[in-house]
Amino acid sequence: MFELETAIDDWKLSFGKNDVVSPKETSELEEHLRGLIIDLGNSGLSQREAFMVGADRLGHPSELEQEYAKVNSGAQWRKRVFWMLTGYIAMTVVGTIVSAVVAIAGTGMAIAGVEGTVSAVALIAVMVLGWSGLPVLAYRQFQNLGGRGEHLPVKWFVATGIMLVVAPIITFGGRIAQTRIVDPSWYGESAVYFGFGGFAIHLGVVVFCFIAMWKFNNPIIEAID
Amino acid sequence: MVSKELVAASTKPLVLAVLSRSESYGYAIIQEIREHSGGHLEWSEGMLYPVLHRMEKEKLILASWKVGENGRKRKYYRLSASGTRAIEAERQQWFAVHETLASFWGTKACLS
Repeated sequence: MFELETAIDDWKLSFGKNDVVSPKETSELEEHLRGLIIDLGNSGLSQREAFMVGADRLGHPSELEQEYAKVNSGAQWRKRVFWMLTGYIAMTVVGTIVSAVVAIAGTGMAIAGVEGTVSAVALIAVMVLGWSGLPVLAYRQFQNLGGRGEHLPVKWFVATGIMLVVAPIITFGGRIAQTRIVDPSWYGESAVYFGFGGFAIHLGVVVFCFIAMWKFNNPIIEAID
Repeated sequence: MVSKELVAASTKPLVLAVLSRSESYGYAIIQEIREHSGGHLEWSEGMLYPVLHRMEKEKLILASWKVGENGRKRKYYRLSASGTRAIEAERQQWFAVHETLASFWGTKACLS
């Protein structure tokens, strides 16, 4: 026995896979298919035949997806950058937690009187474990490359890219400068300044990320409801 | 039968032409084009929607979801001010092509 609703549901599922056709767009296509089925049914076809012919008239899902992809690429890119920024903020939060854990562990070990070499190795292990999320994030970003960004807000995209690249460079550069250039006698004091500087940069990037996320995410929200 | 490429190229002016009469939704737009073309224009009907969405992005048409007579939600499209202006530009282009070809081949004999 042919079940029309099941057939339509299955047909709809063939669009949702790649995130190219939004649910609203799918429901618009569904409306069209239902219209066709009613009209074809009125002209004497069985429900099953009407469904088959109607789906055929609408076109092959993969071809339709290709056309939708051309139109929706801007929105897709915004979504990707949005997730990238979310990732960065998550990373910052994770980083803070990792630093805190490392600091606590270091203090604990110092109090317990653990030997310097052992504690250093342990702290590095904790750091590595905590930061292992980074390659995962990088992989995700890498996966997201591809497709065309026709309607991407270029200004914001470039600014985000610069921020995400420049901020870590400045931070790391500061650290290197601290160890290489600064006079050992001034090391303790300079560490405080670098600490605050790094924190300020980090905070700036996070604030920027929130603003950029808002900017990128805003156009996704459909104006029509 | 009109070729796929030509149908694709003419979708935008056809949509503008249909919507210049009244607001409409996807299925009805297709029906109207089919009637007007005497069945000569056929294409994968789903292809209309990406075109509609592009035109919506270009602000040529405006869209709103309404409940249709069947009680289901339907997306209605109507012309925007810039869409109305775009019609004239499209008309000039298509007539330019048409007149050029007609000057070679002559206009189609009027059957009525």
